[in-house]
Amino acid sequence: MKKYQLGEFEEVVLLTVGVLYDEAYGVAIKEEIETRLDRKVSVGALQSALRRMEKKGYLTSRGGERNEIRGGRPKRYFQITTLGQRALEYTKETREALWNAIPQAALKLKLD
Amino acid sequence: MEDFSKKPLPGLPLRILKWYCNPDFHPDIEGDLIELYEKRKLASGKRLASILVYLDVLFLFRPSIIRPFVLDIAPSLMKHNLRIGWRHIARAKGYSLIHVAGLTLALTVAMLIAIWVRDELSFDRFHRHNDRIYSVKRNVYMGDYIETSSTVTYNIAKGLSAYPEVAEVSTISQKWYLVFQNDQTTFRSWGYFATPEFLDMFSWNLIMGNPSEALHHPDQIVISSDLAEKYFGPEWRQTALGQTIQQNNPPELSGYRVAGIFDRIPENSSLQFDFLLTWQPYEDRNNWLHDWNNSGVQLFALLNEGVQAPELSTRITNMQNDHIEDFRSDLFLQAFNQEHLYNRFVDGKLAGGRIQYIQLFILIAIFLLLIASINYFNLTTARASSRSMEMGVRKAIGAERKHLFAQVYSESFLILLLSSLCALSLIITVLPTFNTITGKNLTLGGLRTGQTLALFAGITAGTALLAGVFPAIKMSLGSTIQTIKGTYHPAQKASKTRQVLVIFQFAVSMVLMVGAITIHRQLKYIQNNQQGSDRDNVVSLRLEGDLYNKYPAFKTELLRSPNITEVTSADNNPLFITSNTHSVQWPGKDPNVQLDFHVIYVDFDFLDVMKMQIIAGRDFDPNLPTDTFNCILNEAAVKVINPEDPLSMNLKFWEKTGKVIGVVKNFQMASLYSPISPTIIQLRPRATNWVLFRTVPGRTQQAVQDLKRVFKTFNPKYPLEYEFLNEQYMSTYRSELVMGKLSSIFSSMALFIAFLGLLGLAVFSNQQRLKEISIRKVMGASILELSILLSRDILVLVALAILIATPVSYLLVTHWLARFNFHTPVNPGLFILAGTFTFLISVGSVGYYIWKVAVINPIDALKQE
Repeated sequence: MKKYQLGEFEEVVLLTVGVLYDEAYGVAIKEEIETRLDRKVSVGALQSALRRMEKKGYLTSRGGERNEIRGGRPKRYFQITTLGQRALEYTKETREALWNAIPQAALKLKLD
Repeated sequence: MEDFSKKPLPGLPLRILKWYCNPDFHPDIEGDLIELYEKRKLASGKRLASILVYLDVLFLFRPSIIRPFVLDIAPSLMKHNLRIGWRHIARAKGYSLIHVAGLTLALTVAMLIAIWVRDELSFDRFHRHNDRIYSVKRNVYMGDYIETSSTVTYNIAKGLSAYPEVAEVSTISQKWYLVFQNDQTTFRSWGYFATPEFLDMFSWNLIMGNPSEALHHPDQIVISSDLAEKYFGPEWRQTALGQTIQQNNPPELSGYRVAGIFDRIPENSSLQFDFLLTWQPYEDRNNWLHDWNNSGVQLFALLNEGVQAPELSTRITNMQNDHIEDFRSDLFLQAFNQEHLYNRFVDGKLAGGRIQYIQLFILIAIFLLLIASINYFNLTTARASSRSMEMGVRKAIGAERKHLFAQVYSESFLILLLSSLCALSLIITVLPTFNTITGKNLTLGGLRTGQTLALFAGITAGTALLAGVFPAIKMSLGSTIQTIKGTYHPAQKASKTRQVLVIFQFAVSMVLMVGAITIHRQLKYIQNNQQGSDRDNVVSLRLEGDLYNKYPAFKTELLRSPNITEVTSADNNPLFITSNTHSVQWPGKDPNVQLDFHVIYVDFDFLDVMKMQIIAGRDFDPNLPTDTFNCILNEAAVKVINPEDPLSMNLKFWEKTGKVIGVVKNFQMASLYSPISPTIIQLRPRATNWVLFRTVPGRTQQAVQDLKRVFKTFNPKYPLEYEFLNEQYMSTYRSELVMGKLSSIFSSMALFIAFLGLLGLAVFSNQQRLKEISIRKVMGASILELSILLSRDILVLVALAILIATPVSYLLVTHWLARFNFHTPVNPGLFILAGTFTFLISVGSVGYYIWKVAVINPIDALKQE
């Protein structure tokens, strides 16, 4: 049944990693989500989502360059794997299937 | 780390991060934090940026980010550790005994307190809707102070249920009793008149009968399973429901139909009753219920989900005030499940209550555990140097620090295990005694065994952490060479800490002791406080049933006994008068001043029975029938009515007018927590309901025998229940009595544990100094000089502890005593007593060993080399 486990926040993070393509590291992802979705993201929540998804195989990462502004600490860039991509697609499809299954009347009522 | 020194970034959070973060993730997360910090600093300043770093580090503490926890000690090594640990324990039997004894006592007390606290916190929470039930209470303005009362006027019930926020309102009367009679016995039981909603709102466990039909007809009664068993016998489950139950106490019906049976009320319920009667007949015959000036019922409101009770509470404030004129009584809501814990109101404001005792006892439990843990810490670190060689050799053959840590810790673990087993058996042994003292029925088993064990395991684990970790860290430190050479002395490094901890132990013990002594003195004070009356040798019983009409004959009959000297009757407990009124009128009274009077109705001879002293005027005279409704005032009442000429004033209240014929000295008429109020003693024998009589001192038992004989002939349908006034009086201070007993037990435990620790330290340091002593002896030091030398260090610490504890305990006890209007004085003697005792205990602990060291033969110690 549950082929891909992807929470809502994880999905947002995964998509943002995609959006940032080659520039997806911690701070950049955090800021991207904050500006695009207008929601606060704590470093803790973000990092734990990233590591969790790396463990699940939805993301890979590579070490980046050292940077003065980062106190000489390297960045870690994240990239979506094929599995991650499938998980995203799967989520999107199931959502769409659900959307399509809603009778017109139900949505109209909501709109009134 | 050197990177941070350039950066003005708080290093502490990053160090914390480094400590717990998975090393694989650490560099880039740290980089992120630094980058964010710089950005935030530019955007919103340095302060906020630093705070946010702390928050980020706090929120990064998550399972997916923290360092993986690996136990990399081989099982065989663990076995080895336990074995070595056990050998160490077994070798140093004396020290181990000190550890185990101290920890056992502390764990036992902590656990007892924990289950007591758990029971207290569970009060009234068994009702399904307990979080939505509120009691209606009121603040009554009594002139110069505000009194909070839990009884309100019945008239607001209807208005209250009209609020859309209120789902249901239920009402109960004051406690009421019935006298049941079956073929075998007569007995008294207590209950309430209750509206039908009372069954619905609360989750009384109705095991028989239909709750929606019960309490609707005037002859219905709902009874407890206890009462059912008592009345109908062991077969009550089959026979009781629908049966008629006979009772003797008019004006209630003589027979009630059992419409329901509820399971015994849990002990953690603040409402306790054995029966419920239908409300309607009670309302029909008590017209006063509909008078807005009268308050005599308890009201409960079940609020709808999501209702803000404080807001609703402010809206109902004036529900009664709008209908009354001569006094003010503000209504408010209190959460029903909080009532038990938060039951003390001062001047209309919540001022704690039982919750304070709970907090205090939790604090005591923590302190005891600390004291015992400190013993462990002190003694293990002191003795650590003797194991320095062992540690060195282990290091030399490749043991890492964590292995040494594990080894030392496993010894602590064994000690704790041993202590917890001892504590568990001790708890089981003393639990019945503890229950007797606290008046509870606590058990370890039952439904919540798992919870209890978890609680115990938690306390033990906490203590293990507290006591074991530091010695293990201390002992595993030190370089290989130092340790193997024997030059690593963690003992010396820790000696300052040890001294501070000893001071702490004894300071806490002394504070506890001062507290215990103060409570004892206050209890003594309460017991001896006989201001204005004499409650010893006075017996009270209810004027009920046939006794009421035959009272004059009953009185004459009692007086014929040589063991009974005076007989009277009253409508209140003379030591605890609860009737009060604002509506006393007299000529020349200032109509703008609201004055509150306590009123007690009495029969002739009241002053003689209570031994109250007339200071002006005369007593009621049985030869003057006109004395009925006349009054005797106390000094406080004279002060507010007419200080110059109180006699011959006419007082009018409750539709009767009486003349003031005498004045008595102020007597204790209410709790010692409150001041003595103006009080009116009115002669009104037909309105009394308690018989009071004085016995000849020392002949109380014979007097009671006489009472039994007379009572049987006068009132055979009622069970005889009599009380001694002084016992009744002390029972109103029950929680203080419990506090007194427990605090003296706990403080002596604290002192004992601290004493054990000091004993251990003394023994150890004296052994260390054996050679020094011997040399001194050879050189001609006297025993006195040696004793002073050896005891000085420790006694200075204890003296310091006493110095610290004195002001702390002074503040605490004055704060506690301030709640009493009448209390024992706080004098220097208290602190001298506690201080001397603390000092003597410590002298005792070191003295014996000092003596032993001082009398040794120096040759024995010196030839060992």
